[in-house]
Amino acid sequence: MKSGQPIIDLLNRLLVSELTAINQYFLAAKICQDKGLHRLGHHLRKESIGEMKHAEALIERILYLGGLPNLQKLDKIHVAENVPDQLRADLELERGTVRSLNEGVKTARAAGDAGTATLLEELLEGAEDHVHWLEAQIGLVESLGVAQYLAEQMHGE
Amino acid sequence: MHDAARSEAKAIDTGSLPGIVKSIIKIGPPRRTPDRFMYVCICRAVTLSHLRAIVASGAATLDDVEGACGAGGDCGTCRNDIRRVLAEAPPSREPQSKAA
Repeated sequence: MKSGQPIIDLLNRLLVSELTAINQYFLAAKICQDKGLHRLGHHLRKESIGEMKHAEALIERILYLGGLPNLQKLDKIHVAENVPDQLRADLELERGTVRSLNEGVKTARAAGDAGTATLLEELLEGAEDHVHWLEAQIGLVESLGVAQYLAEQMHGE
Repeated sequence: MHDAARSEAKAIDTGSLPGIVKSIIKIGPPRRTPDRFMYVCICRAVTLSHLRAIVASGAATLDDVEGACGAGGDCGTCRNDIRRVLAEAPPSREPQSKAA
């Protein structure tokens, strides 16, 4: 199926966010695991793989619409030296993704592309869940203190 | 906070302002500098605190910073962040790379 270039460009812009998130979360996951924060590292790794599935869905949609997915473009990856700053950096990235997906849904609907709009709504649900999780973690860091929060992140999955 | 600053910038009547001020308002407020404990340059593993120490010790240009720690000399993604850190520093220093 051939579709308008604006929708393909929109999907490619969203793909940049997903590819950036894959790398940012994966690196953060591995740093956590390296420091012995296995529980948090496991969760971040799962989030990274979730972003890869989102990227896959966008890539398939772009190809279906007759475009070429751009996998060589990434935004700056934000990696922190400590967990609270990493959670804040991840929250900033994910909130940006929620904003972009909301705008994307509107644009796709306005262009009469319900298939793209539905896909973006599905991705939006995942991104909002992730924002919710990050906000909860930052709240826990504030209420428990960094040391107690990190102690809870050492064991288990 | 960033969004609030942006809307504030939009609300200013730019009609009577000099060109340079207009161009600053058009660009909008500067992007937030990276947090204190962030890596500025992933390629060379340079943190913001390390970069600030290099700038405090006299680095005044992108070339100075690259010469001191390599930051900015690989993929270049962090160059804008380095520029922002350089802009925060006192402006009176001579570039080290010029003297070298």
